[in-house]
Amino acid sequence: MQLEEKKKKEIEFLEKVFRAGSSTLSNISPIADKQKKAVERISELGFPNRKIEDWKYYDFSPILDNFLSFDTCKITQIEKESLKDFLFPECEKNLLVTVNGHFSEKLSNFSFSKEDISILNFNDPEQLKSYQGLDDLVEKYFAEGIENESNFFKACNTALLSNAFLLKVKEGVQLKETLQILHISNEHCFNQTRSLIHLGANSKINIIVTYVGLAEIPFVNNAVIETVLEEGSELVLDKIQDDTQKGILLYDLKAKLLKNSRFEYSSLNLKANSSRDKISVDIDEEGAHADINGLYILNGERKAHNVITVNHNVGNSTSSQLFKGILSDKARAEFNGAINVARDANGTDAEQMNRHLVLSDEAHVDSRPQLNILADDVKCAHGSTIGDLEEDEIFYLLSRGIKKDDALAMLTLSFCDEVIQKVKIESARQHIKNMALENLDTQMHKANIVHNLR
Amino acid sequence: MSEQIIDIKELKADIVDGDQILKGLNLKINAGEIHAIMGPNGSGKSTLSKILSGHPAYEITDGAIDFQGKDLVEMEADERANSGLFMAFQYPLEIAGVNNLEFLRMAYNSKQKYLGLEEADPLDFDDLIEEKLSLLNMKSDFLDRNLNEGFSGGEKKKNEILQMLVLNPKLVVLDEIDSGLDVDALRAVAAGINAYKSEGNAVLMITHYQRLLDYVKPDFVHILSGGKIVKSGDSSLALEVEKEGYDLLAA
Amino acid sequence: MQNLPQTEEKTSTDMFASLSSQEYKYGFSTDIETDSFPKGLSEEVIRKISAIKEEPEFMLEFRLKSYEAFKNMVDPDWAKLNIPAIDYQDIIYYSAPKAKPTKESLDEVDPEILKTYEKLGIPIEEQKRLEGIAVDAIFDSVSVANTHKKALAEIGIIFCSISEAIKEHPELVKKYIGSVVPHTDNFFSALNGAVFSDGTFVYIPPNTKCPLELSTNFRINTKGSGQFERTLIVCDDESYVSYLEGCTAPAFDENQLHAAVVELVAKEKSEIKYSTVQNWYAGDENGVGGIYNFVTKRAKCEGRDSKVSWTQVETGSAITWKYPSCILQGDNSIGEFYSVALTNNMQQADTGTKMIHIGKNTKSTIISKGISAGKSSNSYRGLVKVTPNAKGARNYTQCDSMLIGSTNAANTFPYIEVDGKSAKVEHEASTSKISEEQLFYLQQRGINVEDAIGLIISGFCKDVFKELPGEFAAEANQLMSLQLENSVG
Repeated sequence: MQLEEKKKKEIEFLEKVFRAGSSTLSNISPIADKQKKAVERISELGFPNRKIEDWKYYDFSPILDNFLSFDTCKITQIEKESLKDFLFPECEKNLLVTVNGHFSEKLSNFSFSKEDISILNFNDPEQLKSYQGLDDLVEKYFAEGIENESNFFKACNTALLSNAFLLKVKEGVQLKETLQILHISNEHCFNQTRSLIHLGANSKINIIVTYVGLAEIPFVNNAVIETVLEEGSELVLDKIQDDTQKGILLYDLKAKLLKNSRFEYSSLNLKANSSRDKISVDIDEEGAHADINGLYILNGERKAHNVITVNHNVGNSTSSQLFKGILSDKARAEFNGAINVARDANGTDAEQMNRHLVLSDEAHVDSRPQLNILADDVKCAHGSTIGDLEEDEIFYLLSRGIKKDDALAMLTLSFCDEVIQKVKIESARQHIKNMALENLDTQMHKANIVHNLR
Repeated sequence: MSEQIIDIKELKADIVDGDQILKGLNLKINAGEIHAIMGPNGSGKSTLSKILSGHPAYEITDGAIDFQGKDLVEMEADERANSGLFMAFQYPLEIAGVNNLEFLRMAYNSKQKYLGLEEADPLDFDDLIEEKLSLLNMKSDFLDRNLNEGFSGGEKKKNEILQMLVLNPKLVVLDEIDSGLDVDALRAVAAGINAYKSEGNAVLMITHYQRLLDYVKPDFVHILSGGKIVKSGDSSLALEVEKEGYDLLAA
Repeated sequence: MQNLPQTEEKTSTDMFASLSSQEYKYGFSTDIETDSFPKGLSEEVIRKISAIKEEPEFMLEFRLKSYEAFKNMVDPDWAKLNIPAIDYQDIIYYSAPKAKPTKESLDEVDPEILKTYEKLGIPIEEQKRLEGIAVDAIFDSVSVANTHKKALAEIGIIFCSISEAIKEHPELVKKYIGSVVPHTDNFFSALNGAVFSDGTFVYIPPNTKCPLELSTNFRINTKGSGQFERTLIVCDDESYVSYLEGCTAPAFDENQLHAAVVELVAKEKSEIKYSTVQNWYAGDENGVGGIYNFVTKRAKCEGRDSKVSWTQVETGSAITWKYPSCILQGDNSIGEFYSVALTNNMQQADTGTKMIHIGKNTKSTIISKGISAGKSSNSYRGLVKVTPNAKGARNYTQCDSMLIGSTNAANTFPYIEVDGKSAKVEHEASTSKISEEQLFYLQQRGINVEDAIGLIISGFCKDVFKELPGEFAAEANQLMSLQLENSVG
């Protein structure tokens, strides 16, 4: 029986989690406490299924069928040279690298002043223990709300992590340079990566996080980012998913915005067999703004899922979401985005836009924009469109003497451009455009267009 | 002596839970008169128009307003309107889905009912409105649109004047009616005001600039500063303001 | 058979609430004798219903297989509704006025029933004289009067109660019943399939434009009874019909279940327009009493170039669970859904539509306006599905919510599932409130607060109201104002 087979695999997966979880328990007690709670939560939740609204359109079989190893996630030798496609010159001096979930000191660089920003490694207990205020930070913000965590895989990450970065930007510090965090996967395993980013009051930092696959083998990169923005702080976070064709990305981002803080986020899903982004933004104090953007360009049989929740827990706050997807071949995309406005959160202004460009007959889109509103003095709007390129626009370009392939490529790239422009680093934007073109229909005259649009 | 329209005595008013804006304002307007109130930004000009028309965001803390023998302070906004006080808004609101013509008829009939007069049926009302439209040089398709929805700045202001003509009030308060108007629209608006004006009613214009006063000549000009009228005179005062600025006059 | 005690006549002036209060205008029950079954559901009850109605064998079979399906199902729990557990054994499944229903002449209808309809503001006597509307009236479970029947029959239109159709036109009923909403479809439709007592049947023959608006008024009267009507409308090739449905119920302090099924079949180049003004008793301001309105309405645009248009104004019921849908099977077929749902006090509504695009170049339009006041909860839930064969499919959806006060909830849950590049699907949603500035502007023009609110609300709902036949639009407007009185401070 197929159903029984699936059940068996789910149980096996859970067993692996419990077995691995017992060996990854941290010897820092506040962390270990959270890990224990995570294990409890995993057994409460059980392996997820499609009856749960958030997983309604997700296919679990690649995760279950690949018999991933949970304990061979080890650091492998990688030459910096092989990473050059994924490194951005702007971030050369400030680069953190993990390989299969382990920190690689050799590949990392760090030039920020320790006075401005503390970067701690969870698998360096000496460094951790000597850091003042660690307990408080971990208790408050690391795996916050793990007791009620709805994402099974985030609970797994908490239980299984061997390393995590703890970044703490000091109060009032405005960093000009961009920090890159690069997570590499090249083993057939279920690896965990994680960062907790804490911005002190009135501080500012730009971070670019990239997930890169270096081997054409199946792996699951189970990634978690948690971030807290204290009063008046500003975080620009760009995430680029550059995994290989067999890679699976499970990603969970949680942002907590305090008074007058500002969060700008862009997510670019460029490769991978499938990616699932779970994004939760909590606006907990007035005056905060969240700007959440995403682009996914899918070909072949690739899939992208975006499950986004923006919670306006207080009023006088604003948010905007813009997610765009381009699908060709047999690609599938899911957009599931909710705006929740709490009781009495008056003065909320929230908008959400989701657009899909569908370029083939066999591609499939599921879009679920949602509004849940409990306050009356609010402005909320969402929109969703699904369709091919506009005939009129193509015709306009043709009538100006532009070749059809070029016209198609131009219009397609211009569709993406709105999101690409949100990325702050020039070389990253260029990289994204190149990847976008690679993914788009091969008939397009790449060179020509790339030249013109650069 | 001509009939008294409004008598404002020692009027003091606040933004609800906020600062005091009017600090003892006196103004008397008789039938047949056109008054202009000028003043720098923040002097309380717009507050005055909102208080007269009964906006809920403001409260009167002291003083009295006698409107044709009635105590205006005690009246709701719709009662004030039906008694003959009309305010032309600086920023007329857009209301989706509400047909302009239907709205006009509803407002007209509210007043008829209030006065114990017969309500107009749609046909009679059409005749009434056609006449007013031509006066303002407006096309009748204007009436088929939704109330101020998608109107240009000039169209909105013309619509305010059209409403004024239809409701035929005793006192018109024009709040910065000239803002955002080009010359042609300003002329049409002025023509509407001049057509309305008679020995039996009165106009109170609130404006920052002399421009409107070239088209509608006031009998009295008052300078409002710091929540009080600091100087009054005839139309030459407006020209003085244009030349000297407010600072000098208010000093 | 057993007679239940009669319900108390409540038609006193204080019950018949004046326009100035918020109470339910239609909250009176009529003092007529009824034949009712004891409470409870069993195969025996179903056989009995079928026997009383002298149904042919196929109908009994349909009922029994529906009951089988029902027994194996559970109440749906996915909607954003808080539904108290319902004891399905505590419901009277059959209740009929005792005076023998007559369908030939209104003179024979129990005068008490006619009085009820007068109170509803839709007197049949009046209606009969009115050109343009033919009325079927469902009282509790049985169709009691049907006007204009003969005139319609002359041009081949069948407009009668479904019980009558089962006997007189079994071949048509057998062919189409369950063809759009199968007996296994959902919990409530399966229950309906088992116990439905009456409803309306309409058949429009080919090349016929029905000259009258057809109309049914549904009323639940007996305390503790459920109403399970079943409506089936078949519009043959190149024909047209417009059908109106009105719903009211008396004010009882216990909840009553209404689980109707409506099936529409549109053949080639035909058009069905189905309008509903639903004003079932909503319960009082504390949420006591009121109708549970769990209705399955679905249309199949079977023929090419066919069109079905649903228009609904939902102001009543304690809980509404309802998704009038279109299966767009024929090429170039069109589905439309225009909805206004207003909730006040403790009311809950989870309503919307499903547009399933199967045929080529099929089009759908969804316009939904939700207004929530008091402590109510109002959700739009809709599915737009474009299957791989539906080349050139188009959908446009607009969902707007208006919140009045800060103790209610407005939710929007669209599901959009699209295969292939040739489809074009657009969805927009927004929320708004009645702003103080808008009210002030209207007040400054001499319009009082109540009228100003009414004006803004009807402006908000305009795109839906304009789809309703003339007098229903006026009625809808009035209902809205009535429901909302004293809601805006």
